[in-house]
Amino acid sequence: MRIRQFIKDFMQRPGPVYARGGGLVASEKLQQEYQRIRQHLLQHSSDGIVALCLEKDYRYLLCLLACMEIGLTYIPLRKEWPASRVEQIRHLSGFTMLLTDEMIESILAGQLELVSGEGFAIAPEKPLYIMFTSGTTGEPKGAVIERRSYENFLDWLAEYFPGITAEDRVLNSTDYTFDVSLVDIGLLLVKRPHFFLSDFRDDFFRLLGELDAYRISVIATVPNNFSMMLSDRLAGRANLSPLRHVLIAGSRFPFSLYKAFRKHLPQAHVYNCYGPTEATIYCIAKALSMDETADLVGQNVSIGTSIRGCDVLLLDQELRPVAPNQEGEIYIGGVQLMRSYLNNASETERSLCVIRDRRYYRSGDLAFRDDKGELYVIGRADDTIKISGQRVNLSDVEAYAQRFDYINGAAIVAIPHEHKEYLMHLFVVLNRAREPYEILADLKGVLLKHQLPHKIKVLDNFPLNNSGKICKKTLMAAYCPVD
Amino acid sequence: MSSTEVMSRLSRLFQKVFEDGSLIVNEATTARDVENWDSLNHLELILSVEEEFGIKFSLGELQDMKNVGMLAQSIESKLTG
Repeated sequence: MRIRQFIKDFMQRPGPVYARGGGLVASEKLQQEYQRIRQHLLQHSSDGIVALCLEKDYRYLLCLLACMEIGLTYIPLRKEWPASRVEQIRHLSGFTMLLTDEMIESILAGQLELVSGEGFAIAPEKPLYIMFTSGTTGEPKGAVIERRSYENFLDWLAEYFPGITAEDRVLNSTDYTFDVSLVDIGLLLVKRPHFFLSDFRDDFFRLLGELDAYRISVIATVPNNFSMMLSDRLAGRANLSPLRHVLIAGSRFPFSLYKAFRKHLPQAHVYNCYGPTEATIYCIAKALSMDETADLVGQNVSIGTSIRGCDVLLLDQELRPVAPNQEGEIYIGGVQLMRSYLNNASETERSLCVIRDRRYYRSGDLAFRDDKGELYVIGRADDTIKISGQRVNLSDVEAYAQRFDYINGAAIVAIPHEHKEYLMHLFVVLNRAREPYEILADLKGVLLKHQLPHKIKVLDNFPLNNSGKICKKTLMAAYCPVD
Repeated sequence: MSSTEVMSRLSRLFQKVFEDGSLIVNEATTARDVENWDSLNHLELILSVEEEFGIKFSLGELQDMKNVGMLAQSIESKLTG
């Protein structure tokens, strides 16, 4: 019930919300539009699922809040996604309503029917949202997150960041299809800061411009954005002195970024947070002291310890706890653990396991624990990489490519890259002529932006290893020069 | 520097940054028209333009640019101003 109450309180006396572009949205306008959207959604069946596919601006935010408040499970979608991806999600989830900008316009213009009411009966276990993430076989997986999971996260936000107040200025820079955006929404609800909708669109100059122009003091984002903004070529372009709290998550925190924070943003409190979508945003966190002896082991930056309500184990392949300073895989249990992948029993069974009668998520992230009990992520146990904080499973991309009838075989290799995180090279063997740019155009129709390969190479045949599988090492050695 | 020369030098920069010797841009070209015009190539392009022409854009100027023509205009006005 607390999410409902937080949102009701907020909408009764809204904090300052600034639309994309920086204009303050009047409280009365926020309230009126919220009420109309809410009343429209109330006509929906309480056990239905609403998919949201809008331009990212304050109305998208209002739709999210309305779903959360009245108790309708929502799926965030992105307008720029290929239609085929939306169709896949419709097929997998059976969502019963698709809310678009055009519908919102009609609702606000009074052209659609509205009803009033208190909202649906809600249990803590009711799904709050379903967040789709990279699968492994050419189909995305929808992590079902319950209300009680996000409530735990809100409680953590409220107590872990006593220094963030209503005076702060939060930039909502991540897309609503990426769960880091729920950090910003959580802060909106529990801290009531000035809330700015970003027009970032993956343009670092724009992000710097917004941080400067809006005098942003709090941001939650991925390491790569700050790696770029604090690089020697960009540092000093914007006044970042108001930044006081920087929450970093989504990918490994590079040592070079640690040094850059010390050099360029010494006034900021920097937090290294960790959490897969399946464990509701962050489940491990560390407030970095910027003292190397307290934050680092070698060049590994600590992610700290589990947050309230979360239970984190570090296990070997036989599910036995590993000793301090030994490598193991991160398993996550506790109240923030997802219920399942929606309508996907096999993936759920593969990802969740029961240890001593408790459910855990097998993260695929390899880490070690130091003598103080703090965790350090050092790699992956599978062929998943992170690009801008978003998971990309290489087998998944290959599966999408192989669906084109002119592709006989596809193999993708990812080479670590200083600025781009990874360079993805897709190798294909074709059964009829097709140029790499044509293949890329086809892939754009089915893959998300961060899943697209950077280079495509057409081969006559794949090199094979002794067991007859494609030898990716040979491909890398032959075709992927190190920059 | 003439508009033609600015566009010609810009075209060469685009070819270098996007690693495509056949890439031709004109004033109406936008990020949507060029394969791989992602955030990092955009960053690389702007920094290369600044170096090539010996100029520096403000963050506000960069946010207002919608196409290559606006980029070229901004370069020209900085060179003449």
